[in-house]
Formats: sequence, structure tokens, C-alpha cells
Amino acid sequence: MMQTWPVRLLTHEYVALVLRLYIGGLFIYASMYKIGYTAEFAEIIASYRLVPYWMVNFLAVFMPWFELVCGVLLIIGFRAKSAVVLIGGMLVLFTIAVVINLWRDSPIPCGCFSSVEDPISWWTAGRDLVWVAMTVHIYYFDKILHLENHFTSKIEKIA
Amino acid sequence: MDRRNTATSSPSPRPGLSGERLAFQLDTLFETISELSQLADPVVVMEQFVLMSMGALGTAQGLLAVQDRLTGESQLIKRGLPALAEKQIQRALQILSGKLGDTGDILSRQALVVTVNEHNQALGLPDDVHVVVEWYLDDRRVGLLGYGQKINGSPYDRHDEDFLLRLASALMDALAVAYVQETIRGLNETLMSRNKELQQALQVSQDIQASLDRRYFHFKAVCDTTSELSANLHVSTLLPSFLLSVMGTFSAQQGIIVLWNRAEQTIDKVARGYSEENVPSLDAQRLESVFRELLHPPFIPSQGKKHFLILDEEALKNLELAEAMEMGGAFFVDENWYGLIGLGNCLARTEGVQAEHELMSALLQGFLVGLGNALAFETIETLNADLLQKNAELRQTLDELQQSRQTITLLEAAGQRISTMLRSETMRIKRVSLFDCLAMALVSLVLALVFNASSPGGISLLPETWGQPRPDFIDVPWARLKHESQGALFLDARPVEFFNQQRIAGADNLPLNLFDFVYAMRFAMLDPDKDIIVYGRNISRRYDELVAAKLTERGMANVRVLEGGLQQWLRNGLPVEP
Repeated sequence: MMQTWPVRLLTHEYVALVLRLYIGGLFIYASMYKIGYTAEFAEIIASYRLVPYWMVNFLAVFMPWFELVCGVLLIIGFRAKSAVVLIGGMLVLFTIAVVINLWRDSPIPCGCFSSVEDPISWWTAGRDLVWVAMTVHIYYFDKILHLENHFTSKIEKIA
Repeated sequence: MDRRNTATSSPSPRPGLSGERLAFQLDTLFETISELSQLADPVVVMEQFVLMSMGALGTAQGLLAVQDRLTGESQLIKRGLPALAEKQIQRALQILSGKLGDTGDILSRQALVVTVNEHNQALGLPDDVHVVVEWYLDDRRVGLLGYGQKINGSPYDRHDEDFLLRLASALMDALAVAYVQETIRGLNETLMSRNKELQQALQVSQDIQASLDRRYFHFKAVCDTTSELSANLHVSTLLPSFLLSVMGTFSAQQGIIVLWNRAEQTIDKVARGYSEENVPSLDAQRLESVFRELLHPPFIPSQGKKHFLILDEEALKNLELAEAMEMGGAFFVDENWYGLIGLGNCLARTEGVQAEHELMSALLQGFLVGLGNALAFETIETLNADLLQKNAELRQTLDELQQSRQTITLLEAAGQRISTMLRSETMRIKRVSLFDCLAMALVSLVLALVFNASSPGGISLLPETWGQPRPDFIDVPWARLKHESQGALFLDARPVEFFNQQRIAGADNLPLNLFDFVYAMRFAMLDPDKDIIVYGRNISRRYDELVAAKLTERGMANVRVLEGGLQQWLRNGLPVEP
């Protein structure tokens, strides 16, 4: 069954590539500040009031690097499926956290890219949902310019 | 015919004869008998008898004829008779012989006077014959005795007839003896000639025997050599075997045999009886020149030609192969294989050169057959060895192929497995994998920990409150009293956003993140003994404990933490703001 051109356009692999690069770059960019300012990021996590106090510092140390690794792997296309799933999962958690704090009416910044930001809002949650949608798109339609394809294609030829 | 008187063997003297005459006749008869008895040849007997009887009878003419009825031969002795009388006498003998066949009543040793003093017409004898005596020696021989007229002209009387009969009797006796002797002599001669022939035959037989012995020896030598060679299928043992056999056959003390492969330029040489320094040296060049001299280029034997050449002493000397070589031969199997054999110091050379050459030819022929077989066998052995080697190589190749096939099968299976693994791996890496997620988390964790430990902006992974002494707590009712009496300073330790959102009425904000700045600005001059009640904590942060600890560090003596915090305060319905 022939697909209509808008569907084909939306589901095109180049669109997925662009989204992949965007999301990957976004996470790399977001991790830069958090890695450099671990203590501030810990305060951001704590401000969400969702994580037990004994786990806040650990997450502040671990999360930025996790975002960086996932973003880098997503961009270069190595274990991209797993990376995009993890990024999507993180975005879902972030969105939930934002929604919860919006529901609590917490006067906290998002803390996504820096510690000095406007307080979270439904726009923040909507933005996160858009990013989640992008990861879904990437998950299903991203196929080209993967680093591992460079090897797997040869392996597939050999196999 | 007038038969007047007959006599058989010994007629007795007749009465009336004078004594002298009788004595004379008896003497004559005795002498005749004596004389004739000494003679052995019948012809001589007859001749002697004729002469003696003519003298005794006193006549000048006499004849004596005898005929052998079996052979038809006749013998005639005549004296004083013409030559033409022979035919008449022969005819008379024929008649006499025929008469003997007709009558058949003639006795042996019988004589009879058929004519006296007259011409005998019946027998047709010459006219000069006046007395005719027929005598019959036996069934075989008959004869005539005739005399002419007496010289004194007197006729023959009865005494003469008697005397004549006695003489005839004596003649027959002598002839009988002479014939017997002649027969014996003839038999002797025959016997001697037979003996001679027998001796000659014996000599011939001995020669033939010697020749046969020689032939047998040759044949045996050839047979022995051939049988010995036929069982020998290796050139290396064939050559010495043949050489020793030939040396033994010719009783040679020295011998050498050389086999030259012209194509491969290899020489097999065997020498016997030579000292080490005297062994003839024969290299390929020398053999080339020898065979070029013996044969003619290109040394290829023509069809049907002998494959050997017997070399006599002279030829060997000309070739200058070795000293004192007496017999030898050159041979060739084909255009590649040539050979020489030479024998020296032969001890017994009694046989002729021809026989030796024949023997050597026979031996060489047998040897060439054996040599051809040996060379063919060696060729077959070489081919067999090649075949075995090729078989072994083929078997090895087959084994290697089998192993290669097994290896290929294993490799194919391994390849298939690897291919399956690779395919599943490629499929796996394109799917979401828990392992990948955990790996990424682990890598991130390691990087985070390493960076946090090495970075100056690193933070402690454990809550700071775990390392601090437990602060003093104040319960909400007591704090309420303090609040109502304003006996204590209430400090909100939360961030300013939360402080601004809701706080205990009258509380001041001393946020943990801005503690140093705010403390220095607003609380540096605070009385150290001032009661201070700190509150503000949530699931993620214990701001109250941290701020209380810092205040204690600054020297504040009465710092307490509100137990239950703002939530407990609110639950008790105590005043908050805004």
C-alpha cells in the first residue's frame, strides 16, 4: 500500500537522522554544564524533591556522564537503539519529574542546561514530550550514517 | 667223347711197367706233389704243374684250364700253344661246365682221360692237343688238362695215361689245398681289411666321442652359465657371476668385464685375478674409442645382426686393453649399453680356436639374454619404484585431500557458526539490548567517578550529614512556645524560592547554598547564646541539619533543629506566612 508523501516525508530516514543529531547534541550540550558544576546540579536534583537525600550526590555525579555517553553514542550511531531508548527513558523521567513538580507548584528551574533558568512550566513538560516524540521517531526510522553500520554491513556481507 | 681211363684219388701202378720208368714217374709224382704242396697260389700251382708235367711227359705243349662255375671266372695256363687257342680252350671249358650240369654224376676229385693220341673234336680244342684230361675238383670247379705230342714222337701209352691221371690227382689235391689256402688267405685279407676298417671306425668313433665330450662340456658350460645367469636379475651380480663362469670354463686366471651405459656415461667394471695396480683402467673416453674401432658409428645394431663380436688374441692386443689377454668379446644390448669381456692366462687351451670361439659365442649369447633380462628387470624395478612412489604420493595426496576436506567441512561449519553468530550479533546490535544499556551505564559510572575524584569541583557521593554529629532537636510544642514568646530565632534553611512560597511566620531565610554570604550579611553579629531553631528539609535535602552544623561551627551555642519541620508545624496548625 502506497504511503502518502507527508507520511513518507515525516518517516524519512533523513528526518530521523536530523532528529538523532539534534537529540544527541542536545544531551551532550546539557551534560557539559552539569559535568562542570556538579554541586549546582546536585541542588537542582534535590530541588525536584523526588530522589532520596543519600542518592542526590550520586545522581549528580552520574547523570551528566550518562547523558554525555548516550548523546555521543546516538550521534556516532553506535548502539544507537539502546542509546535512544535510554535518552527517551531519561526524557520521560524528566517529564514526569517536571509534571510532578508542576503539580506541587514547586518554584524551581528546570535545571536542564544551567542552574539559572526560568521556573518550570507546562511548556517545559511539553518541550520534554516533544523531545520524547523525537526519540520515538528516531527509534523507528533512524537507519543511516551509523558508525556500526560501517562494520555490520561488511559483516553481513561476509555472513 | 672217348673215355679211355679215369682216376679218382690214387691209382695203383699197373703191372708190366718197367721199373725205371715207374721209378721215374713216382719220383716225378713225388716231386710234383712235394713241389705243389709248398705252393699256396692256385695259379702258381697250375703254372708249376704244367711245367713239371710237360717235362715228365716229354712234351712241349701243354695247357691247364680251370673254370669256376659259380663266378664264371676261368684261369688258363698254356705252354707251346698258339694265342688263338685261348678261345677254343674257353669254349671247351664252357662245354665241360655245361656237361657237368647235364650229367650230374661227376664225383669230386675225379679225373678222366677223354682223348689220347688224337684230336678231340667234342671239346673243340686245338689240334696240337693229343691228350685231354677232364678233371672235376668239386661241384664248383672243373678243368681241362691237355698236352701236345711227345717230343720224341711216341704216342701216349696206358702208362702215360695212368701217370697222367696220377698227376691230375696230385694237381687236384694241390689245387684243393691252394684254393683252400686262397680262400683262407682271402678270408684273412678280408678279416684284416675289416679289422682295419674297424680300427678306423674305432678311431672315428673315438674322435666323435671326444668331439661329443667337448660338445657336452660346452653344452654343459653354456647350460650352467645360462641357468646361473637366468636366475640373476641384477646387473651388479650378473657381471661377476658371468665373468667367473667364463673364467672357469676357459680356465682363465685373469678376467675383466665392463658394461658401459653410453647415454648416462656410467661404467660397471668387474675384474678378477688382477692386482689392484694392474686392473685395466677403462673410462668412457677409452671405451668410446674402443667401440669406435670395433664397431662403426653410430653403434646401432642392425636388425638380425649378432650382438657380439668375438675378439681373438691379436684383436685384443691391438685394442691394448690389458696385457696378456688371450680371448675376449665385445657386445652390446642396444644403442646405449655396450660391454667388453677379456680373459687372460688361460691354463689349458687344448681345443681349437674355432671351438673356443663357438663356446664363447654361445656363452655371450646366453649372457646377452640374461643381461637383457636384467636390464629389463632393472627398468621394471625402477618403473615399479616410481609407481610405488607415485602411489604413495597419490595416497598422501588423497589423505591430504581427505584431511583438507574434513578441514573444509569443519571450517564450513565454523564459518556457518561464525556467520550465524555474526548475523545474530549484527541483528542484536541493531536491537535494544539490556546489556548495552548496562554497559553504557557502567562506562558512564566509571567516567563519572574518575572525573569526580580528579576534578576540583567534585562532590562527596555520600550525604554530608552522615559525617556530622547528630544535632539537637526541639519538638513542635516546645518550638511553639519559643515562637510565641519570641524566645528563639526561627531560620528557614531551604532555598529562597521555597522560603518565599511558604514559611513559619517570622522566620528568616538562611539558605544553605548562600549560607556564607547571608550569614555574613545578616547574622554575623548575632548573639552566640541566642536560641536558634532551624527548619527546612525534604526527601532530597536536610537543609536544617547542615545549616545548624554550620551555625554551630560559627559559635552559636543554642542551635536546634525543629523536629518534623515545616510539615509538622503545619499539621499542628501553627502560623505560617504568606
